[in-house]
Amino acid sequence: MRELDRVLRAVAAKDVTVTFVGESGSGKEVMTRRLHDLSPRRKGPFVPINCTAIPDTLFESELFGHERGAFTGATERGLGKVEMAAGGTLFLDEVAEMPVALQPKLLRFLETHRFMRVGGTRKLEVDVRVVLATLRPLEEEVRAGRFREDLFYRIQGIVLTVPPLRERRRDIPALIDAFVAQLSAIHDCEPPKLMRSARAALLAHDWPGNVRQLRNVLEFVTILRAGQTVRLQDLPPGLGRTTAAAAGSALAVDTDQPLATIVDQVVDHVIAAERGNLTRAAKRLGVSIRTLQRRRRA
Amino acid sequence: MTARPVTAGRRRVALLARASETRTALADYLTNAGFEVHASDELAAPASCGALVWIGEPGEPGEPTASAVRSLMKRARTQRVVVVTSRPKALAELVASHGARLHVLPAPVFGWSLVDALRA
Repeated sequence: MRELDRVLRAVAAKDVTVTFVGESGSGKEVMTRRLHDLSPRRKGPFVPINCTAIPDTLFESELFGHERGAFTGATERGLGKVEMAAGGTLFLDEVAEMPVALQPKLLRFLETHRFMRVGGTRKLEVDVRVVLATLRPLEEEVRAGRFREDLFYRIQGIVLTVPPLRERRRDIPALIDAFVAQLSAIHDCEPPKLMRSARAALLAHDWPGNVRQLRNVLEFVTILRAGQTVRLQDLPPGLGRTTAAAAGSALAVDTDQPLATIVDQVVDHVIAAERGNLTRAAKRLGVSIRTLQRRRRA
Repeated sequence: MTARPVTAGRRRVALLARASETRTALADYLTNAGFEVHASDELAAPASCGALVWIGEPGEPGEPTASAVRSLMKRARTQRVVVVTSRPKALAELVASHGARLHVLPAPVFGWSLVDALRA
């Protein structure tokens, strides 16, 4: 994540289209918010749009707005998301789900920053930065004919991968504390206290549903164990048992990464394998516990 | 023809938080987001501010929180009030009686949740 943050800082100030690729629940919108906050556009609006949530027939109007009388029920002029995002950032989540018929209009907008409202006759210009996100690499969608090749090449400039939670386990303790506090507030109950064994199991789990799944598990224990301790056996079935094998000694590392990132992955893996016990993890890595703690804080 | 930005211009916001570290960090964040911030550790509603943000103490019981917010709403009169608290349910009645003028967020929140609430 440190490497991703470094890249975010570098690209934030540049007016380029950025595409985030990452598994569902990995935090693509949070990364986009951070990009917006780091950019000179931070004083402008941040407008997210989930491309899966809009029916095909309404998509163009939702994105570009409409003039009065453009279609039945359009009794007034409606602003689209691109206009609402003027001076700020427009975030198109799950862009691969955008109707193919509308993709040429998005391409034209990305190239010219000009658009026309549905039923309109005048071209409007808007200053907006577009950030896109997708669950899987768009090449697959292009091959399947669901995503236009020209649009694909237009947005290929800066593609950033948001790592899944299992590849950034050091984020888990802070996420646990924040979610438990917030969920206790939402459900108006005393926060539960997670025992070391339960924390270790959460740290070691592979989280196929990423941050969203972690939050759901914590909501479960916050409600069921409000004001009480949470032991390993209080976690939902399956948690804590799939991980012992997964957190064994084998670790596949992508060597096309900076050394610091690889070291982080090894450290996280060993801590997970030792179920959060830093003393044992330090011994296994042949370093002092202080070195390990310093490394985790870095 | 250029579409005009929809957002309002610079807005004055009173940020009320007892914890100085939280106050400083959020004041910086909101300033960077384009707000003019008047930070204070006291319950106050400066008339020059269009909105108030009140950050409750972590773990503070519901009744003192509700009482503080009730008092703040009286002082605020017409200003929009955003409250961050670990006891949002304790404010349910106040939210019902003040409608959109009172916006309650369960703590902890990202800085941008405050920005969204202030711009809503």
